[in-house]
Amino acid sequence: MNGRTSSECGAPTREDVPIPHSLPRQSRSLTPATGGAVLVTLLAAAVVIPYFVLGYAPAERQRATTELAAELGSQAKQRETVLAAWVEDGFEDARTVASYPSVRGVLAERAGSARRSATEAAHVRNLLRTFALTQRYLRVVLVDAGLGVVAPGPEAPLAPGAVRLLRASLTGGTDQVGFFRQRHEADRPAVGWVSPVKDGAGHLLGAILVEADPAMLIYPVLGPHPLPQASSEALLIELRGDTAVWASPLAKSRERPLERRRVLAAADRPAAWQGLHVGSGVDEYVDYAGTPVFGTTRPVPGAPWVVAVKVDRDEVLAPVRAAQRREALDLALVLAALGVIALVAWWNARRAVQIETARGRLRLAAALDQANDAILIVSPDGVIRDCNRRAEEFYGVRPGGLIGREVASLRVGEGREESAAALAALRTEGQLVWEALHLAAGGRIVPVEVASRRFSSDGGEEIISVVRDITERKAAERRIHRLNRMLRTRSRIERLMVRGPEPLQLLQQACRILVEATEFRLAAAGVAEPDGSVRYVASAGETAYLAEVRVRWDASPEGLGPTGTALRVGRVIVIEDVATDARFAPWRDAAQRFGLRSSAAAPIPGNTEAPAGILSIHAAETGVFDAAMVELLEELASELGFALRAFAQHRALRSAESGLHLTLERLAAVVQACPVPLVVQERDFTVSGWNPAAERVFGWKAAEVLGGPPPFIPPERREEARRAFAELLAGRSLAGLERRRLRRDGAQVDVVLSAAPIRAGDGTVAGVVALFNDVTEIRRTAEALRASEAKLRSFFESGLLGVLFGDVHGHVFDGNEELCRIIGRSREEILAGRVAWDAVTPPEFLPRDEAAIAEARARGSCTPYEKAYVRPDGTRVPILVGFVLLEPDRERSVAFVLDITERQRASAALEERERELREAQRIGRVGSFVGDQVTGRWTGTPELDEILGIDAAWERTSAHFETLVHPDDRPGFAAHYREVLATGRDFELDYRIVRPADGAVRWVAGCGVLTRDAYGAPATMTGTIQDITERREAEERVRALNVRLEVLIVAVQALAAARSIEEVAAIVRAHARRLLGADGATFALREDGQCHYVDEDAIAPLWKGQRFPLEACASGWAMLNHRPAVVPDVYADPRTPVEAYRATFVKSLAIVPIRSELPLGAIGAYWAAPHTADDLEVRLLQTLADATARALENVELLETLEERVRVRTTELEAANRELEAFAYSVSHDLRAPLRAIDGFGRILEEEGARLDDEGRRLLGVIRHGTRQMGQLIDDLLAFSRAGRTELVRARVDMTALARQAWESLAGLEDRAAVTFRLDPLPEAEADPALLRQVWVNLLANALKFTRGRPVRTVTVGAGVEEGRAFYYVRDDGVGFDPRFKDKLFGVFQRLHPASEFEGTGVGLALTQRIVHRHGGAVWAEGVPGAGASFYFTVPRGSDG
Amino acid sequence: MTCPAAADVLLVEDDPADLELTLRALRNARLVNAVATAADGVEALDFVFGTGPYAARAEAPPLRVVFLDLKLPRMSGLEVLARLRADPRTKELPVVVLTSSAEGLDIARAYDLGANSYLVKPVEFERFIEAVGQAGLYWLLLNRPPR
Repeated sequence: MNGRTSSECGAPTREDVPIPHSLPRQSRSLTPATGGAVLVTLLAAAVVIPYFVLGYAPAERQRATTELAAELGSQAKQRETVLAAWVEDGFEDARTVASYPSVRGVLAERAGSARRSATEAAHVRNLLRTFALTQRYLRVVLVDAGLGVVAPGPEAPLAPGAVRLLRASLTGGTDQVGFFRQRHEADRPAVGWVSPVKDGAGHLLGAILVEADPAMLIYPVLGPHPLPQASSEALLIELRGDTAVWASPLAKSRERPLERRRVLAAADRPAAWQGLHVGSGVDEYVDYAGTPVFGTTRPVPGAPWVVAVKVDRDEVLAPVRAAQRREALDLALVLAALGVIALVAWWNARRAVQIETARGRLRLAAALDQANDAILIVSPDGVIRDCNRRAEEFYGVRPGGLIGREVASLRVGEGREESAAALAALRTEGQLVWEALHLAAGGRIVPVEVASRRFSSDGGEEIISVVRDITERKAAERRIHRLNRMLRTRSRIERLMVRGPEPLQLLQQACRILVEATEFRLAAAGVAEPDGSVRYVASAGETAYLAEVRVRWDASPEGLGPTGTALRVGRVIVIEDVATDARFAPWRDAAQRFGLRSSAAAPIPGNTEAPAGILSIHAAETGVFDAAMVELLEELASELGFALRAFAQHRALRSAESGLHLTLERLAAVVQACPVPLVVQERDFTVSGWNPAAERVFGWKAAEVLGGPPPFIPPERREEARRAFAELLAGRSLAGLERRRLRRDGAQVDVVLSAAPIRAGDGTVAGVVALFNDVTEIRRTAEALRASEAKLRSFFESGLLGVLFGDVHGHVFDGNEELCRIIGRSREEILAGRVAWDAVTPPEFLPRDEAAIAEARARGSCTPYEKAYVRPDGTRVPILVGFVLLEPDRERSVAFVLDITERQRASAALEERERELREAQRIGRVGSFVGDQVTGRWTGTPELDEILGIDAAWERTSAHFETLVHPDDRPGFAAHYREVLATGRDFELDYRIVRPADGAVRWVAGCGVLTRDAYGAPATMTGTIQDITERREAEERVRALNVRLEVLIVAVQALAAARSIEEVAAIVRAHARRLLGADGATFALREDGQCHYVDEDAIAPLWKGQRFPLEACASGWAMLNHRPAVVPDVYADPRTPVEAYRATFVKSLAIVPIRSELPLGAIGAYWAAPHTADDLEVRLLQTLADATARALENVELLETLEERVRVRTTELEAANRELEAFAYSVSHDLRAPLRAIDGFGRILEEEGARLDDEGRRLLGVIRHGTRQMGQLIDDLLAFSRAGRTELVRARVDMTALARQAWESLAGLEDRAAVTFRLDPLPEAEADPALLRQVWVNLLANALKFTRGRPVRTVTVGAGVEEGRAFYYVRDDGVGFDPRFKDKLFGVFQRLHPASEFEGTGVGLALTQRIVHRHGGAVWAEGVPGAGASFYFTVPRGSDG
Repeated sequence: MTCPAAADVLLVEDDPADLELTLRALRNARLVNAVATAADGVEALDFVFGTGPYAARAEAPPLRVVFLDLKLPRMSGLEVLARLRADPRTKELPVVVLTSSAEGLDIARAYDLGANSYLVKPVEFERFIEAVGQAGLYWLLLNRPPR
């Protein structure tokens, strides 16, 4: 345990910034979903782009060129057709001219075959000129066979190109057409047709050349742009043998027509040029300007021409390419967007994973940090990836300092290869546990146990290693090992001792054994010389050391070491570490040189107080001499002392044997005084001496033994004993024989026997003396000690228990750390004897302690009991203590002390909780149970027993429990229980039980939670059972009551609608019985002092249709007494006529009167079983009776009411008829005379000659009166009608209605003179015809009363006042005195004289009547001379 | 009472004053057609169908229009109208109701029974003359009968 390795001086720290070590790594994986998104995006790109490149673009191009081909073809064809027509026309003209007789004639003359006059030639010339002019040719030329120009004349020489055509024609006799230049190479192009002229015999005479200007005929046909494309061009090419001549103007060249020509090799001649490729498809070639083009060519029939229509490829493809570029751009954008989305999704997922991982790691890290062991996460190749805080503390590195290190670097030296081997083994094994030495914090080399296990994590395969510091365990193991050796040593030494060697030999052997067996470095035994020095008499091991040192036992510096001190104080002295203990200073250097690191000295007791010698031990390690070792040393020393003393006695015996001078008396004294059993035998084997020690060891008293053979020889050893005795008698001595002997109580005693012959004065052997050294005790003790030692130690060390070494007087000699903690004292205080257990015990516990001590004195140990200790700070620690009193005197004790603070607290809390729960369960009538699902057994609380009605003897198994369940509920219970077992859901069921105790049926609510064992099998069911009978009953009562109330409500509702007594009876019959759940119900009416049972509903007939005197039945009693009759037993009640019930089932009844004042009848309920109707039932029945009473009253009322209504209606109808007849008469009969008066008055006027002026005036008065009367009648009739006709409501557009009324009223004059203002009016719901009348009346009034005013204004509007809409008509006419405004609306009421304003006084009354019939109001405001306003309202939907 | 055999117009009116005024109105309108009159519904029907006192009229040319008062002795105007409309011969004969009643009920029943027109006699003489005159003009000069 020395030295530091460089690797641990500082853990490698790679980063200055501390990394939160709980998050050492990033997540390296993504969820499949986001990965999928990315993949899909990439796949989409991979599919779309090739599709676009390989498929889309060529397809587009194909489409474009196909369209183009059609277009080009059609354009070319068009031109070809026109040109062909032109060519044919030209030939036609040429042939026509050639066929002229005069032309032939002229030529014939030239040929000399005919004679023609000069005039003929002139005629021909003229003819040709005229032809050319009319046909708009440049000219028409006639040549003879020798190409001489015959006409029009020599002034126009033939162009070389024309000559070429003529020659060809004359040679082959064929028609020719072609381009040429008019005069010379640079002149304008011409096109010429040539036709040969033949005579009648077919001989060639000459030819006709028709020249035309192509710019007029041909080129326009080609046109500038045959296609929409700017680069499109139509060309005409003439083929002359292998030469192509571009005959039309060229768009892309400065060359003029016919200037460009090219000799065509067969190889480069496009098929199209040969006319083989006509009408379909499009050719792609390079045109004259070197531009790639699409084109089509067509030959022109009848001419060596080819029409070519072409367009630049670039221009055609430009839109395609643009579209392509656009599409590509769109595609790129879409892909980019998809990419971005995928990236975002990926990023989110990645973040989510990171967060989740981080959380998981945080949780894991937190969990790991809670662990007491160092935990390392290691990669398969041995690099530390993660660790917990404990690991960093353990290895003494800063946070994060372990990460990245090789796990092997944690190990010491050669262990690193092992680490690699362990990693390799882990790959195959999966998990492994081994021990190793690790370099821990502070340079310690710590033995550790490493448990490693391979596991898969998000980081792949990893290894988790739990490193546990096993220093303590190792130390304990070493200690045990040492103790074992020590015990072995002791055993060997004891074996040595029983052989009884010489003291020096014994000591020497003991030292040797100590060194050999116990691996002490040096063991020595010495004696204290009187001069104060210590002389070593035996030693083993590093004996040279002893030669170097000087040890004393007096007060000199050399006497203060362990040996000297031990000799002085008489107990074991330990030097834990020679390097630090000041007492060892004189020998330190030497000791260190010899590798001695600790030392202990044990005094060997002698006969006196002073020790007989010293046993000095040195070890190579520190910490060897713990309490157990010291004790062992003590024991060993004491045994050595015993052995030495025994030897001394033995030697003394020997000297006695040889000393003949010893008297028998002295021998007897010696025998008596000898501390070991001593037996003297005569020659005849009989015992003659038996000392007290023998009495003590073997149990027999001297008196019992003397004179007989020794009783302690086991039967099987007697022969051996006889032989030995014979040898003794022969004079030989025996020493150190191990023998087994019997005690008086039958127990065996192991003894070491030494015997010698007793010689008489004559030298003969007179007897034998034998000494028995009892080693049983020693062996047993050693054995027991060995057994208990380990246990004791483990207790002592474990810290589970406080261990106290003390005695019954209160002393405390030692105690372990746990005890120190419990009593709050330090070990030093204890060892210094400053702690007494009775001083730290509260006084009230001392009697209990005394009792325990008494018990332990009697039995060796006491029953553990609870008491308390008081700490120095005054707090009490509750403890459980038990102790043993050690043999032999049972004064010293070992006590075990358990701190039960926590237990007490927990148990107090638990008790409190249980008490509360129990109380709650008791109050709530809840019992709880726990059932074992394996055994089927369950236990429950006392409350449960009470609920279930079972006693302690009742068998508590699940199967037996089911017998408690009500038979009707058992199947449901079993099914639910099975379901709970199958699904694991909570048990929750209300069911009935039948209590065994009293047979009562109770409702219970059962709840239970199932727990499962590690294999998922149901383990326990814990739950409660609550008695809910009262709740269920209450619910049942409420439900029943609800049903009854429902019945009552239905009955009351039905009764309210009943219209006849029969209906009432039917309703009562239908509901009364159900209302009370009775067996029968009756409905009886009081009729003429009798009780008439009108109707009934019962399980068996009662008295329906029968009549009884009121005094003779229960219903009658209820009617007469105006109160309910409740009869529990009809046969024991004076109110009931027994005879009437004999024939019925009725046992009990309840009857209530219908109407308490002057009862109309009664309703009765009857039961077949004894039943006392309670208040509620009576009230329910009474309510039904009350409703019945009202229904009966209603029926009566209804009957009289209908009669009254009928009479009244008849009267009204009669009055109405009369009124109508009156109105009819008025309209008809009153008007006829008036008409007669007026009519004849008028006739009289017309024949006015017979009347004078006064007569005519009077006649006028009569006629005026007549008309007034007519108007009055009309108005009255309208007024009457307005009251009688039925209102027909509709939505009315008031604005339109007011306008119509105005327009119907106002004549042209009025419209000019009156300012009419009409505001938009709200719609009304009214009779349109009547409302029109209102507007007419009000507007007519306004017109009438403004007449004659200089400014006339009529305003119509609407407003809202107090929440109701009103309409108004306002004028600025003469107004009225508001005092009389109430009179305005009376019939015939007028406020103005008729002479000023005509009128009958009915108009406003009519208006009011109409408005009132609509439920509205009408009112007026006016000021004399300042106008009037009339208002009315028309409420919606009400029919006043 | 005039009952020319070849009458174009039948005026059914029980009130002599109204009768005279009506005839005057027709005359004022320069309607020269022959006007027959009947004082009650029974007489009117006899005239129309050539029965009873008017058996001689059986073969006479058909009437062109009937002016019918509603309030008539013996048989009311509405009943006359109903009889006329019930007979196939007179089913389409134009009937103008000329009455003092402006009752909606009368108007509705008259039209319901097949009246061609409904005139309320004004009390004022000038308006009466005008109304009757215009009605006569319309039915005798402007209107084209079905046959």
